[in-house]
Amino acid sequence: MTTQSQERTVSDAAAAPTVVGRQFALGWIGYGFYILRRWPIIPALIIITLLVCAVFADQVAPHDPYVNNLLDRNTAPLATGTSGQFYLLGSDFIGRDLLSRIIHGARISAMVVVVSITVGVSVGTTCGLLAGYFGRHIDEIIMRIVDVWAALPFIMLALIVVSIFGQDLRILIALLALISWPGAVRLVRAQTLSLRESDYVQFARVAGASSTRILLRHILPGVINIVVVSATLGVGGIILTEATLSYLAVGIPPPTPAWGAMVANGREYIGDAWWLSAIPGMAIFLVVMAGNFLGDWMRDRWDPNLRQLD
Amino acid sequence: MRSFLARRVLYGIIAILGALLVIFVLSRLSGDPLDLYLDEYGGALAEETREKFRRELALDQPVVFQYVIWVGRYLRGQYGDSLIHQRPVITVVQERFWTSIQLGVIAWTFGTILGVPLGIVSAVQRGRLLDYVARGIALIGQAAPVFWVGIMAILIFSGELEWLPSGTRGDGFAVRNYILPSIVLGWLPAAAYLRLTRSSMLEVLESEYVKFARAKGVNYGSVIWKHAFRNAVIPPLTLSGLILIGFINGTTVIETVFSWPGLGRVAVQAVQGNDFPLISAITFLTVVLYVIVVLTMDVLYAILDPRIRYA
Repeated sequence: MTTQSQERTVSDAAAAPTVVGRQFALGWIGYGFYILRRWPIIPALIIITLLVCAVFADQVAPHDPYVNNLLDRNTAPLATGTSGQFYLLGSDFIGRDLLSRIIHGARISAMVVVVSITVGVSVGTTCGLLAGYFGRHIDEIIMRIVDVWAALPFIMLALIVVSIFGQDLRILIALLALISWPGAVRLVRAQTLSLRESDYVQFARVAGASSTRILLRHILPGVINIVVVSATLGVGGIILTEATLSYLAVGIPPPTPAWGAMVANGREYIGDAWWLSAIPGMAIFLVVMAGNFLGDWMRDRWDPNLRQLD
Repeated sequence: MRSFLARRVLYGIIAILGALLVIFVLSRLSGDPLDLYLDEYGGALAEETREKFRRELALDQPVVFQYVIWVGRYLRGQYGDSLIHQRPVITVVQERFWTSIQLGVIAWTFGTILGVPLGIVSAVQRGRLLDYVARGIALIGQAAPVFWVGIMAILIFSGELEWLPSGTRGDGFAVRNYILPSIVLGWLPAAAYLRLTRSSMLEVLESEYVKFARAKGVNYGSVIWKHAFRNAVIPPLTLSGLILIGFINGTTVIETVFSWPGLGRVAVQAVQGNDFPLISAITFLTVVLYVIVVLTMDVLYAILDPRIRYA
């Protein structure tokens, strides 16, 4: 046992690409694939890039995302516009730099996701624990509210709310927090129901542990991995929904760049300037995919029964 | 079983009433409902007309009564007139409903046929090429925004290649009009089915009874289909309810992308035009549909898995 772990540390640090004495078919290339499969390096890089762009958007963006230059409108990616300015990802229909707008759009996406997931999942987990553990009236009330919420067509509701209160960032975040809520309640409740009947929880109860202690020390650790995994997997969904809402023009109000709205605006110019829709959509796709990958990776690591590594 | 059913039906009714309450509150929050009505010259209503409407719509009653009266009207099938279409809401909804349902059913069929078998194959062939291909398909389906896939599909298949029309169902039933919208709409459910079937199959394949069946020497194919799949199918089955609600949201977007004359597009127009009679009717319809599907799923779930008690 000791020799094996020593061997592992030595071989990880050593120049030769072997892991636990294992030789890779293509040498360094095989080793690279092994590392990429073992660790979510690419998804992590995408998420880190997103966060860096979100925090330092003003410093990272090459141009002002709001300044338009009508001479350069619909400049193709990697081309120089009529005014002599270079655009890495092209410019939009009124000559704003697409890359800068995507970088600033990352800020919106990141903020919306972090706030709404945190709020939604913590409220959902609490409700799920209470409903599953105490049952009876608490369960009834919580689950009936969840039923109502789940039955409402979300996009419709968002459209109505925005048409009444106007386009606003806070409303958007509140709406999105409400999405992740019912899913978390159901997941946590189901898991709590089965854990509640398990022997170790019964023993804890016999030993005289209080409900709070049982919930926090014995049941929460049993559900927390599902919660974190589903929250991570939910990141993609939230970004997609935010993009969908801004595609339907009920997201962030216009001059502020949002990825979904950029795809929507590009639709009118699809024949002349494919990049206006394609590139912001690709950004959404990459971030959502990275979120899903990280979620999967976490599930694989935290649920040894389903480990898909190697 | 009977009390189980009665309970579920009761829950469904509560959900419908709750959803109607949400819509009612939202419609009242948007201001005086009478401001939405216009007279025949397109101006605001005269005071006496307002009075007449106020009595007709029971707006002179307390809010709680207004809700009860409104729900009563709904239960008796009086949905009122659409403000933007100037016709009874029922006829507007009837016209558009089936075009949406057709699209939804085709997309769902596509999603199931693609998703469930690929999920099983992917679990059985875990770690092999087919598994990676299947997961790749699921990955794109789950990560790419529906509207973006739709626009890209239009760009490639109707713009560049000119194989398929870019949308608009047309008058008759032409298969080619359905291909792009239903594949785009069905991709996400396919991905969801695939992933859930795969993970559920993996879990079951690890279980003692599957190991035992294999140790006993049962033919591998029959282990997969009889022992594993029957137990693994329950999570994907319950997903169907979520997929339906996903379709209600998805069709709103897809119909906007493909200019599809369905309910989703009418709903967006209704919201833009503050047409609350139409909005409420469409929401009511989708909520009722959702409740029926979830009820069916619950019953199926109980029939398929004897471990679930009818409690």
